[in-house]
Amino acid sequence: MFSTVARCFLRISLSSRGDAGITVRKAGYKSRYSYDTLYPKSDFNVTDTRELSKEYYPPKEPSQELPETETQEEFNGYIPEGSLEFKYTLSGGPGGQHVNKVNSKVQAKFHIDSADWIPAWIRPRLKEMEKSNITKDGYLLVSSDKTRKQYLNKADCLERIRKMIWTAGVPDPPPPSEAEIMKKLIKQMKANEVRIAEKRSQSLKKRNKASASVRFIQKKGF
Amino acid sequence: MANMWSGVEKAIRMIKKMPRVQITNVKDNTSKGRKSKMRRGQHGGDKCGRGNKGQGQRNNRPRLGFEGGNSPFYLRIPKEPYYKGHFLKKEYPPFSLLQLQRAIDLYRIDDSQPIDLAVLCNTKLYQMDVDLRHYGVHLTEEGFDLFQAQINIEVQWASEAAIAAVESRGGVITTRFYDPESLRALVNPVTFFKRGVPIPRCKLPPMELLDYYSDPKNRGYLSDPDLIKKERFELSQKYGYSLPEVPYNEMLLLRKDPRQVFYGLQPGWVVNLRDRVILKPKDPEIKQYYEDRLEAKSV
Repeated sequence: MFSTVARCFLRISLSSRGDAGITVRKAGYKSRYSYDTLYPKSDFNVTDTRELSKEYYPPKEPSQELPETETQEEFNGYIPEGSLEFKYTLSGGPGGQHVNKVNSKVQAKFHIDSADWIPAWIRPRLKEMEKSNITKDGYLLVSSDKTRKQYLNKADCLERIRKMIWTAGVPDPPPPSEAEIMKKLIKQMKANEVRIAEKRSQSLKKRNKASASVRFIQKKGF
Repeated sequence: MANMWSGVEKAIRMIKKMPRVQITNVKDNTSKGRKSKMRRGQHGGDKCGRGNKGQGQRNNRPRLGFEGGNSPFYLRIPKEPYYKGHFLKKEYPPFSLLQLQRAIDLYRIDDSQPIDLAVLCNTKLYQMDVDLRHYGVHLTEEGFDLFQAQINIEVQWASEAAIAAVESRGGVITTRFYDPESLRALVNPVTFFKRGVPIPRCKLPPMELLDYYSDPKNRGYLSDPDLIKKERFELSQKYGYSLPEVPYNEMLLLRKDPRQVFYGLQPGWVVNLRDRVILKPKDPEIKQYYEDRLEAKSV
């Protein structure tokens, strides 16, 4: 049933450091659940990052470019590397030795007007919205000392910047069409009619409650 | 469906399929069974180990757990909902990034080779017990700031920050399931090889874990590599680091097949450490079982 082989199929060699360096043949073992069978079209090289940022931040072709302020394109959340300046400082509050010694507070800073990664129509709105966090030079400052860890505070800063841009970047509603205007008018008129009818009925009720002499006076118009 | 056949009928059905009894497939029953020495001789006889009178001698003891009338222990202790099913739950003993970095710095782990559960257990810095329902290693994020190594690591559970830490240094992390039999082989490979048993083929995860290992967010071994690439990028955007440009490195991309337990070794092989020889199965049925390939069906 089993066959013995004189030499190992697999070279288990001992390197000078004393650990086993395994050299593997490219063909290898492949069952029915191997990656080629499950995902034949996918690229196995997960470390290849060349195409990714282009997908999220495609380079703009100048010939096709419309004046940016006219189109209301959405912000996709991509923040390119190097666009934010980070400063790491000491956090405040309780925490003993850790808070006294470790730079866990993170401050992110960027110049709004020169930020190409934010759509142009959002930038003035963002400036208006975050007036209190913008310096004279036009830099938006966002700082976070929410957690004990610097990397989590950094993530928090980025999250908040994205949220700000998205809230500022709510697109204007489209102008109402003629049919919609008509519909609204008709609704208003109907509501008005109902209101007046109600008012008249209420008035009649009050009049009927009044004494005969008052009714007489009201009728004769004294 | 209730059992349609009685024990005798089942036995007959079994015998019909088995090979004929021949001189070659009959052997003595060497384990003769423990012969009871009770009721025989000076030491096994007389009262036969039961003492004098009372319940003990007269076969009249109360049920197990009875404490003479007071509320017994097994009824006194209330049930707590957070303990429900505790004996069935899977555990993943943690191993932090800090411990990993320390091990690499002290040359106890070689970062130029892929790291998996076998590597961690061999260092003796990490222990786990399959009998205690430990299903593998959980990589935790303690030591995020100090972690520097570029590694190819395979764990059973990983927190998001741990994944971010490994990938931000240009490494690759995969989460991977092993069933208990494969785990026993991995946790102590030398002991396993000494048993002379073929390397098992690893089972797929159970239903409750299938979602976890098919999710690219967890870098599951059953998920689409293209989606993993996308998730790597999104995680880098979330934590604010840039994915380093890594030249094509075969070591980083080396991954086991979902049925494979050891790097470089196939299921079905028997590793003989003493003679430094590997035995491979020749029988086609056994080979088919271990290779588990999708054969093209001939019409």
